[in-house]
Amino acid sequence: MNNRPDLESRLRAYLSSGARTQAPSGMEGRIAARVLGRRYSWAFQLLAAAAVLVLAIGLGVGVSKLRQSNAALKVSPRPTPIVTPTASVSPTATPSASPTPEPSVGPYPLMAPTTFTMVSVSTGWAAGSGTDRILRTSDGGADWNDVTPRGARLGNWITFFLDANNAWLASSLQPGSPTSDFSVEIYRTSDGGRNWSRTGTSVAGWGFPGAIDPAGLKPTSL
Amino acid sequence: MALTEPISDADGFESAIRMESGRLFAVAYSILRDVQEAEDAVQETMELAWRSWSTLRDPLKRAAWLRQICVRRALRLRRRVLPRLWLADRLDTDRAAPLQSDPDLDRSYRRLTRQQRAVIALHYEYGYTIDECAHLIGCAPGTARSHLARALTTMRKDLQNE
Repeated sequence: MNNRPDLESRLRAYLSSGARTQAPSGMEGRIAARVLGRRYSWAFQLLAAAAVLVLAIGLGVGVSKLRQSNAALKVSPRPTPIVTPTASVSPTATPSASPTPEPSVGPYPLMAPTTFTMVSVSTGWAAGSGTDRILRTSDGGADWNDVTPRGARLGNWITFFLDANNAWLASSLQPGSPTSDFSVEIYRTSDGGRNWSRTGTSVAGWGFPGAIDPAGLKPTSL
Repeated sequence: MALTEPISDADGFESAIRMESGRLFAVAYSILRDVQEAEDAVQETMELAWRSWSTLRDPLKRAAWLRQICVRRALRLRRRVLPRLWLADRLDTDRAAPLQSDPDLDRSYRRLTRQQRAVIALHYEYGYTIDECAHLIGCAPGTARSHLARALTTMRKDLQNE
């Protein structure tokens, strides 16, 4: 116990010398930079988040306008390939602003009048060579559904629409294609375009399908 | 010099850092006995203070408030080995760390827990009562009294053996 005052006095001297320890040079500046710098980084992050938000909104508005401009004809996406008969008509509920396809708008330009057939007051078909689309309406033309057989080769298309359910398509490669394949493939649907099947291939020496004979349902070369 | 000016913006806070960080460093160093860890404790103190800077209405209480934060930060500071290595070439540690005039006591003091060191430093160096030490550390007065008693016992044993 006789060393207790000695310990306390030694402690006081020891702590007093420690309290005189100088802080590292530039400590205040470093701390200010770190603490206040983090405040600025928070502000920067907030600004960056706001910029991203504005960009996303602008992008969304742009995409929306682009879709509106491309939606002159409101058609559903192209059906699945004919080899898997799962293609189905996806009716579009919203009536189109222009109920009939306009030649100069969208992906259906310059349809020949002969490829537009109304088989009844409500049901009709529309297609055309060079468009690579077959459309079908069941409400008098207010809405059009894309019932194109996805597996059909792109090129010259000739169609024949017998009634509301039965239709045929004869297609060949586009003239000028870098191939000597001039065969003509024929597709048929019997359920209004929901499913298409390839009914045959006609090997032509030269030429493109020009018409389908309703009786024989065979393409004839022009 | 105490913080008496109403400080509410970044410039004012920066001036507060320059005024108070030296004293806070001394408190932290008396507990931690490490220059870089003491600077870390001061920095964490200022970070915490900045978050609540505008909520402290009374500028007269800021100095005591900062000291309490600093003591508790020093007690809870994690040892960061890698940052200390990275900082080693940047800090003038030779100048900052003084030569110990009582190396035996220094060795014994460093063996104490941080809580024990805090009670001893606040009581013997800064003159706080045991109850005030307990308030600053954030423990019960009995606990602070126990820290002090055990610390003194440990140091007496160490010094008798050396």
